[in-house]
Amino acid sequence: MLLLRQSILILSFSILLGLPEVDVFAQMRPQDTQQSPQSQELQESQDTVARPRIKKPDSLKEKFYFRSIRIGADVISIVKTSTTTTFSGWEANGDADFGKFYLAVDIGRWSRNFNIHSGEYGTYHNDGTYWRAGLDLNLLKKDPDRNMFFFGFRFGQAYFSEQATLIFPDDANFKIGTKVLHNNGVTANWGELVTGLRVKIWKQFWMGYTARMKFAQSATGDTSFKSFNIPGFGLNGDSFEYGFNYQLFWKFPIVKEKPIVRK
Amino acid sequence: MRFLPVFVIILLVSSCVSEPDCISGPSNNMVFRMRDSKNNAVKKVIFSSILISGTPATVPADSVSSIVIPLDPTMNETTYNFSYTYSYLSNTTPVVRNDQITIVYTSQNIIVSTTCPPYILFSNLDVSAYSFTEKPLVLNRQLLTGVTPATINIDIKF
Repeated sequence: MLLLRQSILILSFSILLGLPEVDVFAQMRPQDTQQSPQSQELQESQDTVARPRIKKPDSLKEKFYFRSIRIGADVISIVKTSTTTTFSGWEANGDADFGKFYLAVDIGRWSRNFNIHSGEYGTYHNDGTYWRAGLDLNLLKKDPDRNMFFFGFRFGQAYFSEQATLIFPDDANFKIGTKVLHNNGVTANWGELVTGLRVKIWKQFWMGYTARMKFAQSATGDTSFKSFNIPGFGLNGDSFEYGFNYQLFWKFPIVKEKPIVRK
Repeated sequence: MRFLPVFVIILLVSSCVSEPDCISGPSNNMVFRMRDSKNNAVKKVIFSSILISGTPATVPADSVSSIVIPLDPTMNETTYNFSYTYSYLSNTTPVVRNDQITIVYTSQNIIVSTTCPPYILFSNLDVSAYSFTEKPLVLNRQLLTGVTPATINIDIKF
């Protein structure tokens, strides 16, 4: 009974953290350390007699065909929207299963409100939409549930407007005072390296997370002031931006899964 | 597999330390360096006054080889009137001369972070008018703040 409760607890925390009980590196290990006498004999004979190697077809190689799509939403955006006054937004995520590769698409909306130094230096507001698209490579090739541990890349683009009321500190010679500034119709692009997990929870219900390293952003149309916060990206500074999504998905199978057959 | 949570935590912590630093001090200070028109050596000049357009303030100055003076952040150009003593030859009596230089530039308002004051980045500096015998040379077209030693923006030959 105690063992069962412990297992349930571990499973609960694993699901909560998105860390499934899957062994990512299993496929990298040698299959069996104990060999049968026949295989040992075969090994010995192979050691003594050099034979030309015949390359066998890899029956475990995943075929490239469209299997299913997963559609979901980012939970963190929803929680942040309901718990903070500085962020409002949502993000929908989807991917299409092509075997080893997944085509991933995200769309979202993002609005941010900041008081700069508690309002002493002004306020900032932006509002806009964004999308990302890219490919993920699933490193879990033998998983029967098609759980994913993936690496991938994204290209992102945002369309947004931003307003700022900036209060400049007094200069010894010049007084700048307060400026009310608008950037309308700003377009921004960036790239992302992503990693994460997708785990089957129950039937077609999936959970997962995606960690993002965002870089190489550029914005056009920010004529009034340098674009400060790019929807879907973050601070428009000189360094990398990082993002994290915790996602819930529903999977829609398109074709019936072809079983992996070992020849 | 066990390294993955550590990797995720590192990513999250990294995002906390990516906040940019505030700009300390005024961002509209430009650095002029004085050079001798005869041998191009750095030269000390005695200024009696430097008048900056857009402000009644006169920058007090002394015998200096370089001087830091502000651009007008509310305009796209600033004119400086230099009043200084000048000796045509080393053994002649110094005379007071007045020369002008007008600098044009573009400015961009920048929000550094939610905790720092905004500042104005000045770039594309150029000389649009001057009364010196030789055209002042623009060395750096962008004003840099918080850089030590200060980056020279314009060389003027006296």
